[in-house]
Amino acid sequence: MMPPEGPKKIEELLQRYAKKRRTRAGDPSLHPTTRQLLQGEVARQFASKKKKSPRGLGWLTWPRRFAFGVGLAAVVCAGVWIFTNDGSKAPLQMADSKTRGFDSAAAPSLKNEQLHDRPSESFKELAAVSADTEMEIKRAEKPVALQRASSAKLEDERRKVPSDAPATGNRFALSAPATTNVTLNFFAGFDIGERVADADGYAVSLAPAQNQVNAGPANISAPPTSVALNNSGFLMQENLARTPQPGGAGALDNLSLFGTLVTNGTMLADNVSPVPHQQDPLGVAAPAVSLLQKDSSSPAQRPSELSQIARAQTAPASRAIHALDSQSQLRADAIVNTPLSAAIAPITAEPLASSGVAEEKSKTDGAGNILGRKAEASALAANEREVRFRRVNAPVSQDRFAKTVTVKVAPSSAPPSPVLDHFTIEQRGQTVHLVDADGSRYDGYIDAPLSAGVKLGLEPSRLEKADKRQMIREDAPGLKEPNINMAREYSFRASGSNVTLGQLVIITGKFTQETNALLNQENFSAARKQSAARAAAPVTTSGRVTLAIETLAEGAASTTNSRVAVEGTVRIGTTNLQWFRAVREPH
Amino acid sequence: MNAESQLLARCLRGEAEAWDELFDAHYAASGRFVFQISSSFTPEDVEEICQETFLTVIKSLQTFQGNCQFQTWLFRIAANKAHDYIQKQRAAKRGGGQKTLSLDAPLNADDPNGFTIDPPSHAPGPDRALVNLEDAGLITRALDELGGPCQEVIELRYFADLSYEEISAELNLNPKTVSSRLSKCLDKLETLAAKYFPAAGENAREKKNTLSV
Repeated sequence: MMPPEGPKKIEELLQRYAKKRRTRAGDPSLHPTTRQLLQGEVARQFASKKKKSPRGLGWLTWPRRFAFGVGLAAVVCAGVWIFTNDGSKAPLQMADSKTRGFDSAAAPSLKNEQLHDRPSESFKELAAVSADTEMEIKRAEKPVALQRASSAKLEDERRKVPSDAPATGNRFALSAPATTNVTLNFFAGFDIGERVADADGYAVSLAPAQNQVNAGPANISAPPTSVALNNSGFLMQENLARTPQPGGAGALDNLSLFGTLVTNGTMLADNVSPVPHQQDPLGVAAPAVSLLQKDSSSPAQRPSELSQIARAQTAPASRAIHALDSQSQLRADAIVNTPLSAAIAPITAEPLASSGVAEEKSKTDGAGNILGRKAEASALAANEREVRFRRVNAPVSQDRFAKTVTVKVAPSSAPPSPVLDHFTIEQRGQTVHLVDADGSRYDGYIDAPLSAGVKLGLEPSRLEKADKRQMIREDAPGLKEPNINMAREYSFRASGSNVTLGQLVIITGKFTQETNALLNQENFSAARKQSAARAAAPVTTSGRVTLAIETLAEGAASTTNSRVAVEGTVRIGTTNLQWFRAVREPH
Repeated sequence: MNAESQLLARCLRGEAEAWDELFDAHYAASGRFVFQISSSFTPEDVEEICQETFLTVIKSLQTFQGNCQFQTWLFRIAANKAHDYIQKQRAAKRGGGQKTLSLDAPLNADDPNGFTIDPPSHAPGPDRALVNLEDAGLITRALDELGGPCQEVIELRYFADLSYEEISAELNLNPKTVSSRLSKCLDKLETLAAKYFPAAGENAREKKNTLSV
C-alpha cells in the first residue's frame, strides 16, 4: 500500500526559510537618493520619447499641414487671377464670341413687349427679302403704322417704365443674347436697359453701366462720351451726343447716336442717329444731318438694299434704340424721351402717308447704290417724329503691310514673335480684318478717331477707361506722333487666334499717314472723293449686305496713293505685349 | 480598466507622480523577494538589485503586455537581476580584474606608526554567518545547484508567494503543468539538499525505499 504523500520536507524548509528571510528583510523603503535617480531616468526616458512624437499621434499634425497648403494654394490662385486679368477682359470676350459664333436659332426670339409690340409677321416679311434680289420694302413702315395705330398701347408701354426714373433718366435699350456678357461704358445720365430682337431671332442686349446710371438732372449738361460695347458675337461702338434743350438745362431734347454694330464681321447697324432738331453746339449731330440731306438730294435709291430705318418717337420717360437685322435689312429705332422739335421736319421731308402705313421709296443713284430712302406717313402723332437714316455701303479696301519695328512693351521673357510681320488689312466699313502671313485672322473694328473723341468733349478719364490701350499707346515712349490728334488717325482693335502660336492675339493699332502724305492735303482730299464714290458700291458678304458709312477709310486704309502706316500694340497671350509699326508694302 | 492599468498608463505618459506611486507600491515587496533569493544578500545588495530592477522597468514598461500582474512581471525581473548580481559577486570573489590590497601592508610606508588599511566588510557578521550556515545558506546553495527553470518556479512559488495561476500566467504555462513541474523540481531540490539537510535527506531516502519496495 502506498503511503499518502504528505508535505515534503524540503517544502517545509523552503517555507520556513522564506518566512525567516521576510522577517529579517523587514520593510525595505526606497531611499530618496535612489528615488531621485529613478525619477531622473524616468524624465530622461520619456522626455526623449515625447520629442520623437509617436507615429500613432502623427495625424494630429495633418490638419495643420492641410490648412497651410490650402491657404498657400488660394494665395497663388488669387495672384494668378490678378495677373491674368489686367484689363484685357473685353478683348478676351471678343475672342470668346468668335469661338461660339452666332447662332441665330439659339438666340432668343423677339419679345420686346414693353417698347415694341410689333407683330412678328412684319419682320418675317422683311426677312424674306433676299440680299441678292431687289428688296422691296413694302411693309417697312408697317411697324410705324402699327405703332401709331396702337398709340394707346404705347402709352401703356410708357407707363411700364419705372416711375422712379429721373425725368432725364433716359433709357437706352438694345437687346442681346442673355448668355452674353457686355462691357459697357456709358455716359452719365443714361440708363442702359435691355431690349429688342430682330426677326431672325438675333438679339442684342446691353447691361447698364454700374457707375453711370441714373444721373440726375444736374448732370444733363455733362459732356457725353462714347460707348464701347463688346458683346459675344459682335462688337458695337456708339458715339452718343446730347445737346441740352435751349429752354432749360434739365431737359434733354436731342440725341445723336451713331456708331457701329458688328457681328461676326458683318456690320448690322452703322451710324444710326436720329436727327437733331437744331444746330448741335458740339457739332456732333451734324454728320447725321448731312447724311439725311444727302439722302433727300440723291435721286438714286435702290430699295433692295435699303436697309436702315430709324424712327424717333417722343417718349416722356424712356428712350430705346433698336438695331435689327433681317437678312439684308437693318432697322434702328430710337425713342427719345423728349419731343424732337420741328426742326426734324425739314429733314424728314415727306410726310407720312395718311393711311398710317409708311411706304418705302428707295432711290438709287446712277451706280445702283442706295443712298437712302424716305418714309411717308401721315397723321403723325403730335409727339412723334420720324427720322430717317441713310446707309452708305462700305468701301472695301485691302492693303498689305510689313512690320518694320517691334518693341516689347511689357516685361516678358518671351522673344519678339513673328506676329504681324507681314499682314493684310481688309476694311469693310468700320470693320477690319487682319490676315497674318501664317493665315491667322484677326477681326475687329475701327474706333472713332481720337481727335473726334476730343471733339466730342470726352473726358480724359473716361477715355482712359473706355480704351486703356489708347492711353497706353500714347504714353508709350516712341509712340507719340506729332500728328496724334489729327483727324486722319484712326485706331482699331482686333483680336483672333494665331494659328502658329496657338495663342490669343489682341491688336490695338492706329492708321497713320506718313508726313509727306499729310502735308499734301490736296491729294488727300482727292482721295476722299474717290473713296466716297466707292462707298456707293454695295458690298455683299455671304449673301448678306454689309452696311457701312463714310468712315475713315478714305484717308487711312483705302486704296489711295498716300503712304499709310499702322502702328500699335500686340498682346500675345496674356503677358507678351509688343509694340509694332508697319508700313504698307508697295503693290 | 483597473487601478493598476491606469497607473501603468500614467507611467507610460511619463508622469513622475505615477512612477512614485509605482515605486511605493512595489519596492518593498520586490526588496523582500530579492532578499529571499540569496541568504548572502545584505540590505545594501537588495537596494542595489532593486535599483537595477526598477531601472529596467522604466526602460521596458512599454513591453509589458498585461498578461499577468505587474508584480509578477516585476519579480521575474528582480530574480534575474538578483542572479546576475550573484554572478557578479562570484566573479568578484574570483578576482574579477579587481586590484587586491594587502590588509597587512602599512597604509603609508613612511608612517612610522605602521597603521594598516581596515576597510568595512559587507559580509555577514559572525552571528549572521552562523545562522546562514545553519539552514538558509544550505537552502540557497541547493537552489543554486538546482538552477534553471526549477529554481525559477520554486522562487516564484515560495519566495514570491505566487499562486499556480500567477506563475502559469507569467511563464505562459498551464497551471497543471506548473504544479507538475514544481513537484518535480522539489524532488530534485530535496535530493540535492540531502547532503546539506539530513532530515530532508531522510525523507528522500524513505521515499526512494517506498518506491523500491
